[in-house]
Amino acid sequence: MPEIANHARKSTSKSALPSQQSVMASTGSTSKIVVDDLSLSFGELRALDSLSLEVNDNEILAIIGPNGAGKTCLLNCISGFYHPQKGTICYEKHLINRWAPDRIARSHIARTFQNIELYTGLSTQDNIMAGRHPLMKENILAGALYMGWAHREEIKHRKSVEEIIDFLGLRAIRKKIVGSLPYGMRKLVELGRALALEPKVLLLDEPMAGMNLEEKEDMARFIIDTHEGQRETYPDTEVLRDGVGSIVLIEHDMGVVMDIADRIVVLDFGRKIAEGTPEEIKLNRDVIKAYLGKTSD
Amino acid sequence: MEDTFPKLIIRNCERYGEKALAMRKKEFGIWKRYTWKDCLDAIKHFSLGLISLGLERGDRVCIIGENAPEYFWAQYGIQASGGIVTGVFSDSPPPEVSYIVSHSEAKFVIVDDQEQADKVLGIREQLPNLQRVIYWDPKGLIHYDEPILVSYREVLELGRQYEQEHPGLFERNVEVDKGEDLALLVYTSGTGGIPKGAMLTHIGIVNTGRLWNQLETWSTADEYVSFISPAWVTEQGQIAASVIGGAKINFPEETETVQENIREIGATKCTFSPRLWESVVSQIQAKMVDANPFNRFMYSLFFPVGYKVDELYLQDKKLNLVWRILRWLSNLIVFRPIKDTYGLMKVKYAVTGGAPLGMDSFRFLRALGINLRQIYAITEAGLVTFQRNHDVKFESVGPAMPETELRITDSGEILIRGSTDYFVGYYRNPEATNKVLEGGWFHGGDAGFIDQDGHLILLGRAADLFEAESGGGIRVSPENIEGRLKFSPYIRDAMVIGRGRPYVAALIQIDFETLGRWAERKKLPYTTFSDLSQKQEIYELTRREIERMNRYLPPSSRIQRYAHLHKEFDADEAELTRSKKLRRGYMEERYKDLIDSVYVGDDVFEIKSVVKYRDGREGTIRTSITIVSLENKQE
Repeated sequence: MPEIANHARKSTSKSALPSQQSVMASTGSTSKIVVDDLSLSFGELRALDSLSLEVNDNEILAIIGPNGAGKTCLLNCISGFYHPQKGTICYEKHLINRWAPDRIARSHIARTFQNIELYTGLSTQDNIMAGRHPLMKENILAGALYMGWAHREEIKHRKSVEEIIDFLGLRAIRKKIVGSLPYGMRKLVELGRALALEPKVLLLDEPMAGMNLEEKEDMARFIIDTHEGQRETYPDTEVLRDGVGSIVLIEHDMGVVMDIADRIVVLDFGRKIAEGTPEEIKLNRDVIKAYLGKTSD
Repeated sequence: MEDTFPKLIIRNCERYGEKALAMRKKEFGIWKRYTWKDCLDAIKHFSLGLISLGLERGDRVCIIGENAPEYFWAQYGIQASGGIVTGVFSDSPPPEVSYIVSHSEAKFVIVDDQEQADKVLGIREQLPNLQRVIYWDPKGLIHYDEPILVSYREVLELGRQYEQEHPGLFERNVEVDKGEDLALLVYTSGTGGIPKGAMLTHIGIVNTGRLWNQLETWSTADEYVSFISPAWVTEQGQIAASVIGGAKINFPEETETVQENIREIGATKCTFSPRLWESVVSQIQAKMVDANPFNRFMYSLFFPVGYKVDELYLQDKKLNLVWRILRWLSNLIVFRPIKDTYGLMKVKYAVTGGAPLGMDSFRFLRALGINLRQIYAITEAGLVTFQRNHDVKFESVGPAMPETELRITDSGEILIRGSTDYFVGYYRNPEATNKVLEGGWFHGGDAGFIDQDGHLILLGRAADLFEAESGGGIRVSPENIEGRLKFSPYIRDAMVIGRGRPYVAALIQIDFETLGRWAERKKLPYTTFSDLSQKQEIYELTRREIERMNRYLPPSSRIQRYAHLHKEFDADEAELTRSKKLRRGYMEERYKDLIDSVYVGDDVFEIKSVVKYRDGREGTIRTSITIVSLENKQE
């Protein structure tokens, strides 16, 4: 998809050649999340099988693979919904594979969902504000009485929510109830809620599913903008100013993946079958076999 | 009174200082406020900043952007330094932008956001005079590495420094400005041919504002929402009136939130184009069709009261007790809630202009209780006519403005002369200038006549009127008929044809939203605009509407055959001007084969047309267009 490439990479500072980046990934940059020998089973069904991978700082990592390969299961393990039977997940020197989801969220790992899990009865604004919850210090009494510092905190959070709304172009629908919004807009609202958490790691589960070309291009642009950071445009919200260092992206649209990912990990039947830059993966026989069932010669 | 706007801003600042709000802009969900002092500071620093970047007296500067305080601060700042401002419609594609910027030889282009900046940067090679591109919305531009780009903030900062080094310079510059100096260079959309740059002076715009203040109050209690492109001269007039009266100018968040913002602010002044008014009418009518039986009953019960009350008001008759009670009831139950939904509840003065508003829409809106008056304004002559409060006639555009004279030539063309006449000529086009300023009167090219009450009745472009072949000497005004057609909620736009032809026919653009909803209710499946427009059931609907309308027209003006166009009339394809007026000549040429087919008597026409998308790509639409004949019962 050459159009997305033009749109998406128009003015990025990350114009280093792919091979250079993969060298950086394996030697210089810090690993944000290290998944080691992860195994997850549901009864007899092996969802993840001795999976090991790393998510590095300052990269967009794409996880691809045929349906049922275990991609969402991997994300669910990282965000704490599932606890693996074997193996560890290490995040910033902590082992998080036994942590509850809310603790992981408070540690600045945010995610979006394949099937959109928004509060359909609340407005866009309120949904994104809900994402600020782990960052709020006020207790129920202070909030109810709206005392001085609770008031100030609320204003600070509202300002960030408004900056996120501005960033994602959601101004016209800020007061609309999410249940009445079209699919493409809901996906953006969910991204907004994830950003509200001020994440250091952002997990996106098929953010472009069900979108047309224009919507995909927009979403790709937002993902890149999220990664790069907008500096002085949004001075009050750290995550918009500095960008999200690590983004893990599950996606089926190969064009998008090839365009915006720095590195790709390929899963099949719960195992990692390949890893590398988009160029390397395109030519990898095992990957082609996994998708097409046989090698194409 | 002061004769330029920078002087008026200084006056307002002395008069109100920090005590009155001048402008508001919604950003990040809240309305940011600016006092007159804030405005003056921004104008002064922008002015000085531009001087430090090389602006000289007489230079042209283009501004492409949506309505925002920054737009007007830039405009007055440029004018304070003796510069001339050219506004460009923000939906203009690159070739149009290129033409205007290069023809005007602009040294600077001020843009609002990345989209406009990209347009200008993309055509940079065609603009040798261009020195800087200044932007005020930094979103997306943060990562650009272009030395030609400068942010608005930086210019203000440069201005502050420049003020330190040259104290009093701004005030001295403003003193030097005279009313007769050029203020604006406005490229008129040209319903035919390439745009011409009309040169307009300060004093003309000041007079427009002053006279508008005479006709109705623009006080500090008034709220005006500015969303119509400032490249359009009537919008400049309203801002002028606001500044002179001290009214508050509110800028909406973005195009999609305009209606909501008008509601939030509780606008007391409202000027829409006829298209916008007609779309309000269509929306109300469409919503009523979908409403529950009780609401529909109340609506049909009380609407006639609205019509009658307005009739009595316009005849200057007092309402007796019965009518007063009925009016109170109808306001309470029907009119106020409807107006509230559209943010029109607090509107004291509403205006329509730019094109004639269909009589039926006009009466509808007045029946609702909106004090709507029609005006007639041209780029070159400013406000020409203006309906007064008790003196609204639906077919007219009103009596002449104070200090303005009108004359009708033998061929029916309207000539104008007056103090809002601030046009001194077309830039770099002396032949065109001489043609329109013959004999000291401005020839606008519109036709009309003045009735016994001194009201001007417009008949459309003088060049568009034609004699009906079928009737003795009757002149058909296509615009008039089109206005009537557009009143129908099913018809969005129309083009009437018939010059040199045996009878009158029309090309109709259906209202996709309204008819789409109708089709859904009737469980009629459809896919695209093209598909829906050719459905038999849709033709039935429009047929009834047109037959109904025909009864009000003289026989030789009645539409005998018509067809639904398979696509919408589009400004991007040069079928409409940027202000959405029909480009008749071009359309008649483009659809010549279809039109011939109509007059030959065909029932179906196979069409293949090339469509140009916003990003420049092209596509083809291939479809068959049905043509319908109407029975005209002779009365």
